[in-house]
Amino acid sequence: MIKKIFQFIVLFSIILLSFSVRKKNYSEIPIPGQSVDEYSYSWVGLSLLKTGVPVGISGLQGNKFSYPKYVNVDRFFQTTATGDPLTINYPWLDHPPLLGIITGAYAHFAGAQVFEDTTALFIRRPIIVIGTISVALAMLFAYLNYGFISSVLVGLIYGTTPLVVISSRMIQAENAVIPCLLSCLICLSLYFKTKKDYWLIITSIIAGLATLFKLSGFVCHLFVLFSLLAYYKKINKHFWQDFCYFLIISLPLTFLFVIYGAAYDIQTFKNIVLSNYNRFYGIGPSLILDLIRNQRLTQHKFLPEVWIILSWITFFVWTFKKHKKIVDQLPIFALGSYLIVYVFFGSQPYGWYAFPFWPFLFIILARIISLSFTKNKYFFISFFISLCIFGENVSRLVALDHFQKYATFWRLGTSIFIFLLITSEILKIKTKYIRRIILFLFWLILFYTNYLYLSRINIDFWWQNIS
Amino acid sequence: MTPNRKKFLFSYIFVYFVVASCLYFVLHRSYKNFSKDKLNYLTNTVSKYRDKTDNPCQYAIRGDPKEVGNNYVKINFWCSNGTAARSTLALNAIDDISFQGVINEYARIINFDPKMLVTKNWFCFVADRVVTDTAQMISAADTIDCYDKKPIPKK
Repeated sequence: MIKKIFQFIVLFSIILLSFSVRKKNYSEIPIPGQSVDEYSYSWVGLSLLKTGVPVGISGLQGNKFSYPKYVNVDRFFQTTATGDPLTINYPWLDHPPLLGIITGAYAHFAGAQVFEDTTALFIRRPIIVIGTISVALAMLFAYLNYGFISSVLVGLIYGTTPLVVISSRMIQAENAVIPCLLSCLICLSLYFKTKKDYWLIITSIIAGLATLFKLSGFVCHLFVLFSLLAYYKKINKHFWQDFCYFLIISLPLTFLFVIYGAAYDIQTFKNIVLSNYNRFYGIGPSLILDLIRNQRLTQHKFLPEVWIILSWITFFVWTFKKHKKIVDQLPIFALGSYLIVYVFFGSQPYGWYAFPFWPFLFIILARIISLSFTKNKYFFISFFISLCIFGENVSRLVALDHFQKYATFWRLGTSIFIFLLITSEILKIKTKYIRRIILFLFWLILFYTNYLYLSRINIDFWWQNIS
Repeated sequence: MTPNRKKFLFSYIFVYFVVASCLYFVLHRSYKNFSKDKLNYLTNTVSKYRDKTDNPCQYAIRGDPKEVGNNYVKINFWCSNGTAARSTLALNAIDDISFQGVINEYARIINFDPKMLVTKNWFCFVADRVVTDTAQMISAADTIDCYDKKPIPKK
């Protein structure tokens, strides 16, 4: 009982930490207006509540009513705008309206009456809560399936990785699809354990809702398909029973978007869907390599994140291993499903299209690191990853000139440690506890340096060092 | 399919049809009643949360419109303390392209009172000619210059 209370306090503290780092400077970073989609989603929700018709910004062909307008919310025409007026469209049918309804409704109840009232200060509040829920769900999945240490690790990684924290403040539908996909992982893993129908029903409803945030929420359907196939190991009667049951519940929810479009203008809806399909394929054929090495916030804002790059390495390591338990395969299916969606729905290389990969990469990373803590497996890769992240985190905090006075400690300490590590491995010297202590200390420093870097990011730091 | 699953699906589909039908009719009716006035209220009203300035040289619109060719107007405010705000507006985003209409729209975007130009005796020019009639139409690629003190004529 005491153990459970202790675990709860630790996990809850991580959730609070994740929320607090997301909340700090949330209305300033990312700079409001760097993605006007944030306003568009909120305007869709606000106009739906005020007039019953969605009005938003769109660059797509096929819109029935479209006109240019200057709406100077957050004074972004004085800061980040490029000079062109916004293209306002109605009825705005580019995407399903659920995210807009959440952010727009929040703005409405917080006092927003017109589009200019939807400042980042109002509209980003719900999304930082959604971002924190995503961290909690990733932790819950890890706790239920891999144990306490994995849960702590995934919470701290997903909760404090700088790019992830900044990205989770953005009103982008991907940030709402993430908790849906994570919930599907949790519910489906519980369905496999208990065989209770209600877990499959909840999975189906969440998968349906995910598509009402954005059609790429269809990733949940693919994920369920792969997971059921892996669970039953073949296409048999049981597979069909579960999958059809899932589809009968989830697809009608997706179909609500068609009903929504038809209520306004079915022809316009059709034109916009076709226009969406024919968008410029800006991610190009090198999209997968680009996904691994280039992390972005918007289209042109590159923010390479060492945690994500190295998590891709652990993903490959994890994929090559044969897993007996289905719960070890679930994050791979989630990643694979989203990769299909990413390739199929891809258009311009906007940073937010890659957001849904990250929690699953971190779940795998946390699993590997926790195995090296508890079972002494994957120690070499864990050490290698820790060293890379440590180096990058230090270089973010200390300029190269200032680092020179620590260079002797760094080269001596690191090279001697690698030497001892290889020697102990060759001579089979039992160093299990020493290794654990070293890895533990390493990871404490990693999370602390993440936190330090995040606390430095304010508007001045952003313009001087990042933007 | 088990009887429990059948029972659930029956209730689910019944509720779904009720909700979907209501959704369709409510939204369809809203679309029929939608008017440009409602839209203009949402897009044109200045936020009560945004600061209002009494200094037109304080803010300018960043960047130039790139997708309008020469269908733009340049608006420059020159202050005697040496500051200036230089902006370019796309004319296709302005309903009334008279001098007063353009100034009103610019004042709405920046959030200052356009009457201030009269009360504080600003001197305005369109294409280097003094504005005598505020209803005069603005042509594409024109430049509006406004000075808070009477400018010294160029030699």
